[in-house]
Amino acid sequence: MTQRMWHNKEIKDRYDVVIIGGGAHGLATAYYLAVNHGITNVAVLEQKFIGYGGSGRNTAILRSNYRTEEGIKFYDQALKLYEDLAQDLDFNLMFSQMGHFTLAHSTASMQAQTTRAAYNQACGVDSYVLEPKEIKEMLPEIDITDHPRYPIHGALYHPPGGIIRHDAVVWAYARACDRAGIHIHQLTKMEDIIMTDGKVTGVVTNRGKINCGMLVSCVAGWSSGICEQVGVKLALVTHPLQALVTTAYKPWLHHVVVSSTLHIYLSQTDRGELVCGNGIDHYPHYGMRSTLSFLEGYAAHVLELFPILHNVSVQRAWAGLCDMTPDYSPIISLIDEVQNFIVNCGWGTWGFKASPASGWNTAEMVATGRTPALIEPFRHDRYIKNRLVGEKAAASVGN
Amino acid sequence: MARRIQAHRYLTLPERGREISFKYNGKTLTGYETDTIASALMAEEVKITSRSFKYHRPRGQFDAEGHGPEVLVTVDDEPNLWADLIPLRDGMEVKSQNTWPSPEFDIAAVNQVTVPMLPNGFYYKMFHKPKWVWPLAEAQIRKVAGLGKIDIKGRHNKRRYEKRYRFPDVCVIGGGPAGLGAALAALEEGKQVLLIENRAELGGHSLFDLSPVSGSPVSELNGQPAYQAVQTLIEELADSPNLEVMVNTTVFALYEDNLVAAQCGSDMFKIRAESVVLCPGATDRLLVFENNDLPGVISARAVERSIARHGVLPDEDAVVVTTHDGGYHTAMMLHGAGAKVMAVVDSRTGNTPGHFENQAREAGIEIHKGHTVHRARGGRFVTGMDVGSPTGSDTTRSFNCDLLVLAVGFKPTLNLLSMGRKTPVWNIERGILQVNELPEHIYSAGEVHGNASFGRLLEEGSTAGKAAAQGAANPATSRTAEEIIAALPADIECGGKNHFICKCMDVTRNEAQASIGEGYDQVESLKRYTSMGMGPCQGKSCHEAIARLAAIDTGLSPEEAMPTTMRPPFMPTTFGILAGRAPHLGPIRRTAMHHAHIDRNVKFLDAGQWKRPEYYTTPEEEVKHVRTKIGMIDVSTLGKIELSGPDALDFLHFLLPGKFRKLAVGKTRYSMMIAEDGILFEDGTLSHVSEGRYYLSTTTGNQDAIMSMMMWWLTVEPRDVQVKNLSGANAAINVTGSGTREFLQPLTDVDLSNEAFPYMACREGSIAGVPVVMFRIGFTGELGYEIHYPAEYGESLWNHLLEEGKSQDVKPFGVETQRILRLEKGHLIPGTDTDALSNPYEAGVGFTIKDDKPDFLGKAFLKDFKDRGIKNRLVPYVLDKGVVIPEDGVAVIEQGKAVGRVTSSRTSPTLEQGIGLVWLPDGMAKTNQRFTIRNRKGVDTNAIVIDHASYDPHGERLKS
Ligand SMILES: Cc1cc2nc3c(=O)[nH]c(=O)nc-3n(C[C@H](O)[C@H](O)[C@H](O)COP(=O)(O)OP(=O)(O)OC[C@H]3O[C@@H](n4cnc5c(N)ncnc54)[C@H](O)[C@@H]3O)c2cc1C
Repeated sequence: MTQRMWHNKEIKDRYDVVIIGGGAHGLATAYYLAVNHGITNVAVLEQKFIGYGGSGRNTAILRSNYRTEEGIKFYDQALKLYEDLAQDLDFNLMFSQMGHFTLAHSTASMQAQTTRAAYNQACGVDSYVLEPKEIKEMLPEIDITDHPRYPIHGALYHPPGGIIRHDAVVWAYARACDRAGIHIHQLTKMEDIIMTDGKVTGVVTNRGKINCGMLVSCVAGWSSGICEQVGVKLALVTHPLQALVTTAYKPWLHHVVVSSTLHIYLSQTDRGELVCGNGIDHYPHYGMRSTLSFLEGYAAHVLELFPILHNVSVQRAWAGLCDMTPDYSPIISLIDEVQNFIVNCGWGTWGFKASPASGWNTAEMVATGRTPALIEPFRHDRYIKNRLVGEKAAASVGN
Repeated sequence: MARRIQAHRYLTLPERGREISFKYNGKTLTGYETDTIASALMAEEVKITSRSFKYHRPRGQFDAEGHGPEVLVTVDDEPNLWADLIPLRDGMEVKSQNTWPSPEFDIAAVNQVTVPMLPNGFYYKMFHKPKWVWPLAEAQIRKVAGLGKIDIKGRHNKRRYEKRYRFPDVCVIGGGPAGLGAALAALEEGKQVLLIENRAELGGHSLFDLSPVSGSPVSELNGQPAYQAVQTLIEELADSPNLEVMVNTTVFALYEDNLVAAQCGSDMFKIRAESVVLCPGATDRLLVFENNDLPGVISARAVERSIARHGVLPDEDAVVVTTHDGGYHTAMMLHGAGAKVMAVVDSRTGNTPGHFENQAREAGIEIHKGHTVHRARGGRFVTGMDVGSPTGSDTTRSFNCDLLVLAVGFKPTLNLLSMGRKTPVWNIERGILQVNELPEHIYSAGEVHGNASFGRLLEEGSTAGKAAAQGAANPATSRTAEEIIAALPADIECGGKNHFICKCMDVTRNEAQASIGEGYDQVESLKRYTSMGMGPCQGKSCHEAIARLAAIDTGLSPEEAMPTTMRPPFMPTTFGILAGRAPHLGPIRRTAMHHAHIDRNVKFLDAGQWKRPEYYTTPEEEVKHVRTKIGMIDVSTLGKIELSGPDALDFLHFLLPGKFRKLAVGKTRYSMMIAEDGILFEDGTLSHVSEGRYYLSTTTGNQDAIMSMMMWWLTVEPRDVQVKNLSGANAAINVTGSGTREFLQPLTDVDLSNEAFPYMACREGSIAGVPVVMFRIGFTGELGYEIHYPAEYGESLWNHLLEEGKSQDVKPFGVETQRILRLEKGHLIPGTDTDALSNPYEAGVGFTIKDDKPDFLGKAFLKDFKDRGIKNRLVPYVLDKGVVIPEDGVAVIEQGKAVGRVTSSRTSPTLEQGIGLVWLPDGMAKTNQRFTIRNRKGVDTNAIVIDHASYDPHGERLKS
């Protein structure tokens, strides 16, 4: 008899910690609360089903070759945790460290990639610059001639980068939470936050009221709305991001390929589908629809890199929400004005890769009431205090 | 055995057309020009057309709708195409997929034995411990994964893809009776109508409908058999001048504002219609039972289409499983073609016999009431079947048949109605999924609302077409009790493990149940865990079955168990089609002198969308030339914005960090631009050309951004300013070198003497009769004049100067040369030497900021940067002579840490040593400080910070 992954439980009157959002960040936070801090009187509330949000819609690229020292160290902790996560959670997350290319199509971009490589190496992250012919040896199908509109000048290559089965990460965390005694409540939407004397004391949901000692918001694209309820304005704008998969083909592409100039990226799954995406839609929106211009634009651009893909067909397109910050770095923060409330957001187009480190550090913040050093740079008020962690160049289309 | 029939007892067969030959897996076969690949293969007795995704089970033709994965083939090296949609062409090469060596004898078929021995969802439960197993396992999985092969040689790149556009009043999608009715009605209302059909011919399923027409609004059709009536109708439409018919055209998506996206051959159509009428019809319902995926299990309409349109009988000994009179229709179709109909197995009891049930009785066909199929039997294809009670109990009979025909009702093709906006809901009364409440100006009619007769479908289409033409509300539809087809249980539960819900991804009921048992009890989680509905058909075959079975197995209500909206595209669409011929890439921008550069063997550089001369000979040679003689560079790509009007100065004070009240007419000043976050993003010069008229030059890369920023601020805080973007209107040349004055003076009416026209001044005048504005600025470090003039003289003035300059050896130079020249002078380039983290104080241009102004862009953040003090500095450096030049972007290493970065690094031909600009921590950014640069290969080089520009540190040459 197979064991259930998780159980549908009765909602208790009170939990020590209530986490809103059953995505990878919420579930990872709950998991590390249990295993690192022994805190298990915890509930995760999810309005739909776990993985409904970005965690079930992303293109699952993991890497740590960021630009700033703060960014590199944080994402590297995440990548290291991911490397052992399948064993820790006893679930095959299908993490393929197939290697990750960031193509450069201009001298300026080559310079930026060179700097990234240098900073990565200095932080112990495997990352280096390749010349076009070295790229061609690893990706024989790519066009490195001067025929494309923006010919390839080189690339940043990051061997430990790769793709993972995103849903599996969500499910495996959820199972581990369930086994630790944490409650996961699906189809449970938080509708209101209860405040007493500047302190959060509970939430109202479609299934009733729940008291809590600490409330953690892990709702990514929905964060502005949630934080507004406690009067916190965040430097966030939610934009849709679209992605597509093709029908399945015999695997031929064994690396992740990203081009910021062309605003596209692609990889091929173990099932043979190409998973593809581009930059965010330019308008802020909460709709999760795909558009024809996305498909047309993606197609035109990908053919610049891989002309052999003319006959490859798109099978499904979708969109998710991205909580974009001005500096393309996250927000994981206590809030001075609102006690017992922690906000975890600002994951934009790049947050899935951060899930384990995000959960790890958020859990520590919940347990100790202090901000761990690694995430000190990600305070919510850095935008007012002008302490940005500029990752725009390294985070945007690179996911 | 399948065979071609010459005549049919109950209908006139269409002309077959020319015989043609094609290749299938290397063998030459024949067919006719009216065939699809699938019908030709059927006639040639190809029973097994593919192997399934996971288990490599044999699969054969099922629905002839282009939905199911069974008939995916590679055609002329184009993989993953539906054989049942593609018309047969002479000489085409068809190959089966995902099989080796052939679909009949497939080695990987051992998966049928091995995979079911593994636990449910085994891929999540195995291969991850110990850690090193996964990369090995994955490499093996990748060897066998996927369906068709991509043609790596990319032969089809040469195909001509086009985008085409249509703007009809009414766009009708689906050419069956409802669609025809809609088109007719809209035409009668005087509208321009576009009618789209994804098959080669109009008519839809009525092309093989033998029923006599009754109740048709077009009265002369009554009494005719539907397959003839529909032809009459089509002929009637043929000469309507306001109608365009597109066949072989698949609408693959429907977006907001009635944007219809369709594909026909290599063309993509983008259609904007006032109204859209969706008449996509319905397809045979999938029934889940033991071995429901065996070749030989086939849908009723696939059989009817094959016989009536292609004259191909799929097999001899058939049993029809049904729940309505339509099954008897299929039986008569088979009977008339000479097949042996062993039985019709009808789940109903006590119904009043319908038209075709009576005919079947008369024809002596055996009928089993109150029964349905329990299982198909056979190894590689159907050799028999068992029947019994619809509940799955009491298997009572067996037949040794080779064709098991499913006529168990229809499922509406809801994809275009749903398309990311509307979730289908159960219509309990009609026993089907429906999408109600469509967005405005979208209408629907026909079988998509449930089964009905030809006459009624025509009428319904006509009502919808009229409403669409008039912009009225979407008319309600109704169905009579006789029209409603009761559904069988979604799965006939009577044992066995091969009840396939999703044939694309090979998911059985057992697997779905086991997954629900594991906790995946939300239908979306279930779909994702099992991959049901996520294969090539994208749920077109299985969506309904998933919804029904998920509701049963999870205990959720039918609404909660409904999978979410159906996503585009309806049919997989290739990148080639989507991209079209004119790629969505930026246009190539060329300066007015472009061809003059080509004549001099220029090497171009891509600078954003621009093509700029990188160099003509070598950068070293060109640098030396400028330093010793005279050079000319095309700087037409600079942004050139003219501002005037009462508030111009005020606006500039807000936009730029400097103060310009004292900028007299004829004066030029260097200025930064600061973003709202206090980051330095741009530099340029501002000149007061004539009273109240300011001229701002910007870098090539930022001109568009700056222009839109200006427009934005003028909208937010209206000011009386005229902003003229002269970037394209003006060409520009920088003439530079110590002899420039002597060279230019005879050619212009402007007094160039140092007294009359000093450094950082500007003058208006003319050269060779061309009106010019000249700016005395110097990025190169030499005496220089930047000449701006109307772009229509771009090439002639450029050539004129070169011609006149021959005697003084005036030569053009490129951007790379200029970069070295400015680096010798230590000038920064924003975006190259600065990035999104650079503030102007640290970049060493704090002198341009006058923060005692009331308010200007970035002020608050600049103050913060100033208060915080300098942490890093951008400074020039030199390398020892002879050392290897590091690449742009490499790091400065101090005690193993990256503490800074080199932004520009070149050999100076003038100094004959390496020079550059570097960001260093303040403590290290001291003159004569030594530091270590680590190049890309990891080799360290020593460098020394220098005080000021390495060339002409006091700017004497510039100002002389
Ligand atoms: C198309 C696309 C591609 C992407 N590709 C990548 C990639 O390749 N690599 C990468 O690292 N990142 C990628 N991302 C970003 C990544 O998906 C997200 O940053 C990440 O998944 C965020 O996870 P989360 O757990 O914080 O939020 P989510 O997964 O969005 O979870 C938030 C959850 O909160 C729930 N919720 C919201 N409001 C309420 C409420 N009131 N009550 C209860 N529950 C609520 C939502 O239903 C949702 O399930 C991509 C994103 C998209 C959209």
